[in-house]
Amino acid sequence: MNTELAFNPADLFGLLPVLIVFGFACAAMLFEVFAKPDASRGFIANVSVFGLLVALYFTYRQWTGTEGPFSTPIFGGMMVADAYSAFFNVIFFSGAALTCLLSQRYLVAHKLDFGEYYSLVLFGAVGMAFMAGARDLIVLFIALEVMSVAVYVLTGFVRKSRRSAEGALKYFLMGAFASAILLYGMALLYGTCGSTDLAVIRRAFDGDPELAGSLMAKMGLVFVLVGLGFKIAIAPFHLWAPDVYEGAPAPVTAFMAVGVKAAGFAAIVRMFTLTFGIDSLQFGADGKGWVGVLYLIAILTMFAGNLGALHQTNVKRMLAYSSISHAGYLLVGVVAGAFGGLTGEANSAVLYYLLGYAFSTFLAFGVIALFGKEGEEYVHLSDFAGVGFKKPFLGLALTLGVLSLAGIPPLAGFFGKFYLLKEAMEVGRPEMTWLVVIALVNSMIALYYYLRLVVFLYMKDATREVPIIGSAGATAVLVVSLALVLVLGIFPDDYLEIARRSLLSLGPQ
Amino acid sequence: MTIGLEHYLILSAVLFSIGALGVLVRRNALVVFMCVELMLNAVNLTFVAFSRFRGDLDGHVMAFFVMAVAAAEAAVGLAIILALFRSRKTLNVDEADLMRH
Repeated sequence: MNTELAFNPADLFGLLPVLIVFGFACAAMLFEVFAKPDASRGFIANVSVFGLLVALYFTYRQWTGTEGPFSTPIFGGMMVADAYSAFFNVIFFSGAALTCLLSQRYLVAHKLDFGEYYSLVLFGAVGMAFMAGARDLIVLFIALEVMSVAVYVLTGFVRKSRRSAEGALKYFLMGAFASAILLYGMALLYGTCGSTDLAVIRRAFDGDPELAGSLMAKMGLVFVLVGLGFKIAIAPFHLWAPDVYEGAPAPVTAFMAVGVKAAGFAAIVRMFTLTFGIDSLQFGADGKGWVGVLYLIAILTMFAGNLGALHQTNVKRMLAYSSISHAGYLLVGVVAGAFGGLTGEANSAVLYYLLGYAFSTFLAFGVIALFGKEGEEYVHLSDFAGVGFKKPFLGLALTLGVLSLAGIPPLAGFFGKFYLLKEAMEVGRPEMTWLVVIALVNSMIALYYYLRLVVFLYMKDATREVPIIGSAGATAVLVVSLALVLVLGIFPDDYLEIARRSLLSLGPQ
Repeated sequence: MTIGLEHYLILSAVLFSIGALGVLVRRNALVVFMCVELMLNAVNLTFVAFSRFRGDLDGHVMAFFVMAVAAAEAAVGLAIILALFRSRKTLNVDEADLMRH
C-alpha cells in the first residue's frame, strides 16, 4: 500500500465505468424502496440494463481514447485502470446486462419480482470489476467479497425453494472457508514481503531469492491459489459447484458461470503470471514450482468436469460440470502463459476463450431459464425432447450454445479452444504437448454429453408438456449471444487483437 | 522469555488449524460458520502481529477490512442459515443433500 494518501480526483475518471454501475446499483435499491408493493419491477431491470450499457459505452471510450495497451495506476497504485481491466469489464457488464434481461420475466413467472435482485447483480458486477483492476491484496480481497456476498444472496434468492437454500448454504460455507484460506495466504505474503502491493511483492521476491524460496512465501502462494481455486471451481475444490449451480435460479447460474469465473481468472492471470511468475519464485524439483501445481490441477479439473458431466440428466447440473471442465481448459492456457512469459500469446488466448465461453454460456442458459413455471424449473434432459421442432429458435439457440461450448467450428468456442491449444503447443515443451493431448481427449469426452442434449432436442418425442416463459428480454439475450458466438467464431481477428492489447497492458510496472 | 513474532504466528497458525478442522468435521451449519470466523480471526492476528513487528500500518488496515467484511458475511450467512432452517427444520449440513440423489 502506498503511504501517499492524497486523493486525486482524476483517479475517479479511470474508475468511471465501475462507478456508473455502482450508482445504478444504489438507484435500483432506492427504486425498490419507493415502488408500489404490487407494481411490476420490470422497469428496475430496464434501468439496470441502461446503466450497464452506459458503463459499457464509457469502457469503450476508455479503450478508444488511448492508443496501445494503456495502463493508469489509480488510488496510489492500489488499483489500475488498464486495457486488461477494461476487457474484463466488458465481460462483467455485458454478462450482468444479459442476466438482468433474462431475469425480468423469469422473476415474475417464479413470483420473485423484487428490485433487490437487480441491485445485487449490479453490485456483483462492481465487485468483479474491482477484482480485475486490483493491484493490491487489500483491494483484491474486498472486491472478491463484494462479488461473493452478492452472489451468495442471489443463489438463495428463491427463499421458498429447498434447493435454492441448500445451494446458498453450500456456496456460503465453502466460499467463506475459501476466503479465510485466501486471507491467510495474503497475510503470509504480507509478512514475507512487508507490503500488500503486488508490484512491491514482486520487487521484494525479485531482489531476494532467499525470501522467494522461504517456506512462508510458498505457503502464502499455495493458500492464495487454493482460495482463488475455490472461487473458480477448479479440482479438487470444485465439489460445491454442481449443487450450487443447480440450486441457484437459472439466470444467476449463468451469471456465476460467466462473471465469477472470469473475475477469478482475471485475478489469477494478473497475480500469478506477473507478480509470482518470476524466475526467483520458482520452487520445486525442476524449478517450475507453482506452474507444476497448476499443471496437475488443470488435468484434474478437465477430467473431473467432463467425467462428472457424463451421467447427469439434469441439464443445469450437466452445464455446471461443463463449466468446471472449461476452467480446466483455461488453466492449460495459464500454464502455457507461465512457460511462455508475458510475450507469449497463451494468456491472450485465455482472454479470448473467456469471451467466447461467456456468450456461449449465456446462449445455453438463456434457453434453459425459459423452461419452467412458478417454483419449478423444467431442466431434466427429457424436458428438452422435441423442443427443436416445436420451438425452432429456442432449439437452434440451445444447440449452437452447447456446440460452441463443445468446440465445434465455426463457433466461438471452437476458435477459442483451437487458439488456446495452438499457443500451448507453441511453447515447445514436451510436457505441454501432453497437456494438449489430454485437453483434446477431454474435448472428445465432452462431445458425448453435449451432443446428447442435441439428440434430445431433435430426435426424441416430448414426454410431458413443458411451460415456457417467453419474453422480449430473453429473446434479446439469445439474439445478442447468438450473434456474438457466430461473429467471434467466424471473424476472430479483431477480437484476438483486442485480447492481445489487453494482455500487453499488464506489463510489470 | 520475551514474546516474539514467532509466538504470535504459531498461535494464529494453531487457531487457524482448529478453525479449518472444525469446518471439515463439524456438522452443524452454525458451528461450521463459527469455525470460519475463528479462521478469520486467526488471520487478523497474523496481520496485526506482522504489522506490529514490521512497524508499518498495512496489516492493521487489513485487519479492519477483514472485520468489516466478516460482519457483512455474518449478516448474509445467518440469513441463509435461517432460510435453510425454515425449509428443512435442521441445521445439519449432512442432511442438506437434496441434490445428491
